[in-house]
Amino acid sequence: MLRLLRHDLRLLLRDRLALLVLVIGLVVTALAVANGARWIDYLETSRADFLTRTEAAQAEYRAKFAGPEWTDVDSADAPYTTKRSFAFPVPVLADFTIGRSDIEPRMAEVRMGYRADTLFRNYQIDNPERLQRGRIDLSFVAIVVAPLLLIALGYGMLASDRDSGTLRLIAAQAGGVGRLVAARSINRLALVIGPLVLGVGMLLLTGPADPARMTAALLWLGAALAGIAFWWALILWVNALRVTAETSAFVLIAAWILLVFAAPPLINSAAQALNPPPSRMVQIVESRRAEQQATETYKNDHGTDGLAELQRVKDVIAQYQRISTAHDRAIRPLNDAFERQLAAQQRTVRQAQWLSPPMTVSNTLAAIAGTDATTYAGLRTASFAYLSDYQAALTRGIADNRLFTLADHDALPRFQPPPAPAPGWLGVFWTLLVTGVAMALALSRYRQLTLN
Amino acid sequence: MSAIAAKDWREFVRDRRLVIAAGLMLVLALLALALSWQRVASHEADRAAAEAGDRQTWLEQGEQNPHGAAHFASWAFRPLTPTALIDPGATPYAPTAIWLEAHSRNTGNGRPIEDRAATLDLGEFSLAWVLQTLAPLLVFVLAAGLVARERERGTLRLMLASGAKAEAIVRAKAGGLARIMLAITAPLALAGAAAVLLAPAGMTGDQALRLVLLGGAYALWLGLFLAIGVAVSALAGRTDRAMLVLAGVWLIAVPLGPRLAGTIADIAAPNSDARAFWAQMDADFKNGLPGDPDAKTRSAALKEATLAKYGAASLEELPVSWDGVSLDASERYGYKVFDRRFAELHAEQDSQRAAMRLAALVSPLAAFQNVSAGLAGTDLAHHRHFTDAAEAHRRVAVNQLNADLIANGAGKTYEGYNADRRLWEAVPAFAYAPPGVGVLAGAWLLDLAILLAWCLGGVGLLVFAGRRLAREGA
Repeated sequence: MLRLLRHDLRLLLRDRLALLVLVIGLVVTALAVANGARWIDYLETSRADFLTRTEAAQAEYRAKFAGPEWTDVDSADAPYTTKRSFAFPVPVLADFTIGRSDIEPRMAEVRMGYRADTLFRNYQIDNPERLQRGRIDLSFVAIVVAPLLLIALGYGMLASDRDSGTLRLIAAQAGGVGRLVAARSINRLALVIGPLVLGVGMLLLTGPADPARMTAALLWLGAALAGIAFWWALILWVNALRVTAETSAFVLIAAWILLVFAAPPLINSAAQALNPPPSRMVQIVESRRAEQQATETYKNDHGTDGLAELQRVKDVIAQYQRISTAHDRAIRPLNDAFERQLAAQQRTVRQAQWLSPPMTVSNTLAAIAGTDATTYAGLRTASFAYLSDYQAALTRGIADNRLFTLADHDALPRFQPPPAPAPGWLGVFWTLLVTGVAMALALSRYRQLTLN
Repeated sequence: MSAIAAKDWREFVRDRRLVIAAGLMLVLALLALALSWQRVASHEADRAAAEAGDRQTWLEQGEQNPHGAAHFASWAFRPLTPTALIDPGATPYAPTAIWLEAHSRNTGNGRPIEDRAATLDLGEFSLAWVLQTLAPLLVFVLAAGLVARERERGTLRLMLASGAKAEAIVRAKAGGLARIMLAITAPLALAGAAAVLLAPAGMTGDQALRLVLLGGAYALWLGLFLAIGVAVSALAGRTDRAMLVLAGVWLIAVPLGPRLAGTIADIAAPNSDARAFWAQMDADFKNGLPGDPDAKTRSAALKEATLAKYGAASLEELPVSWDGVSLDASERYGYKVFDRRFAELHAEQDSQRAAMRLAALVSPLAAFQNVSAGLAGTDLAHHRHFTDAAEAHRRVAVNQLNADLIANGAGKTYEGYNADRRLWEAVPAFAYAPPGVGVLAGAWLLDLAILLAWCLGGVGLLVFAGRRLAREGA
């Protein structure tokens, strides 16, 4: 078998197409690795910079609060001037699968008056054209590029020999169709999987020193290989059909288009059309109506003339807090409806993704990486809950007309990110099941091929 | 030669695989058009309702200090023009609404992409997406066997032996394929035109011109792939090889090209971090822009200048509201800071676009996406036109409110002076007029030149393939 493998590899490497596949695989993987490494470094750096900057300002504020120059008026105003900040953890494999990590909010400051609809604001400064183009990451290599490279190497694996009438001869020399298929499969798969494994290794070596990354990377690689196995099984099955190499290429490319390229946008569009979230614009207008109703006597944040008297400041702050809380309560149902529709969209996508094994694998890769919609929905929910806790603590701090104290300040809650949701493996099992069926069908057809 | 084209048409019609593939693309394109129509129509209906509701809320805000009203402010909602249903361009990734409040040039809320469950984002499902991604592949699939199959069957040798010139055969094959593609895309063009005509925003002369130009651009786009496809079919020895080469070309040009462009932009001109961007502006306000004094010094100088202007000895003696003057000066300094930092942000985005153009060396799609979105009015330049108009309106409104406070708030506390509905009515509502197609054409003319260069290259390749076929025979 080893001799056969070596012989087939020699032939394969003499083929310009195989070399081209290897070069494309290596180049695209190198781009994905460079981009992924740069991206996770950016996420880590921007998170650290934000926390360092805001926590330094908060420490300075606390020092003033504890200092001798702090007055009662400052204390009365403190619920408004106090801030807390938080940042979501950097997704464990954001360098493998960028996913939604380039569009979701990642950090925020919290203070009196902030609501669920204004907690994350002005984070959308990215170039929309840049976002539209997308990024090359290892997920893209595994889901989009690798299958096409496999098709290029495998479409004519047996069909070409059958077309030229040499299949029986070559199979006889190899000692059987099974041995021939095995040798050719191993070499072709190695040519495509090799760069991907190399990319995983490079990112593990260059990425953050997080012990969770190794396990996650192995799971990620396992899921990616399941996706690749699906394509190889499909290639073997099409080769087992008595079709020409041209038809084989046509069928496999059509399958790729349908499953990889057309299904995801189509399923996503259908999920959105079936579960349309309440319009953002309607949400804004409803929020303003609620604000207007809750603010009848509220004066905005420049009432400095009135802030000279301690009681006045206390009143303004207490009123502001009451209005904000009432406003938040009023718009919460709309926000909740929005989140529910997003969750419904995700459910629809999950239900429809069975039609496209590559899509299930892609979603699993994003879930393992921590850059999927479910993970971010969980983080958003946790941040809104934190905001509620923070506002409740402020309300307690100014209850009964008392002054906000340093102890109240120190007791303000801090954000605790929820545990990362466990990735669902059903999609990968489904892919493996389809792979097994395609492989079994292919093998049963190969068995029917006799050499005499 | 027309006989060759007629024969290719018959073969196309008889080959069920090709007919099914073309039919599928047609169905997908029509589905995309229907979904886009629904998306644009619901966006426009929501926008009209939101604009009316927001204005009403503004007018009914009750009596309050004008600066309080400047904070309450209003919203600008981005309209979607009818051609946006052909190509949504960058709009799914751009904010839909901007809060026009005092002190802050907000960057906007409500990027549609954030409200979707997508993890494998391969583009917005639209007519443009089908024509930019699937249609070239269909052209390649149809083209792959056009010459190569004749060679495999031995009919190419017969044609050449019967006196047909190789170049003419290649030209006829290209013409025949153009006829097939025309038959496939004509219903799409008609459906697209009908959708734009029936779009809720209504048809204007500018939209009609954009539609015609879009039609021309897409004809060029598909023509390019047609030339490459026929040339590769003539150059490749076998149909399956031609199909594989063309699939490789497509892989690089379509799924990889734009992402390569994005990756190049990330490396060459990385995005500013949003938090750092705003922190920088906070620091600019506090410490002053380079060469400017800090906030305390600016405030002291303003106080001195204001007292001198009105010949007053103290702030209490001023015939105008010091709070108003101070807020107005702060706001105007803010304009200076915003102008500078947003100019830097825009320069960064322009650098990204320039960097992304480098990918046009391997993928014409990187340039064509700019042309298509520019013509549809959905590119970055149009988005920026909207945000600039919103900012200009914000300044008008805030200046107007500050002017009222300056004039009427003298000697009164913040709570002591309230304006009423008369002032709210005097502040104009934001009315945005999208620019004509020529206004922002500068943003995509270079991309059009790149596309034309690619087309010239495609024609050159076709001529080369014809000559080589003539030299080598069948």
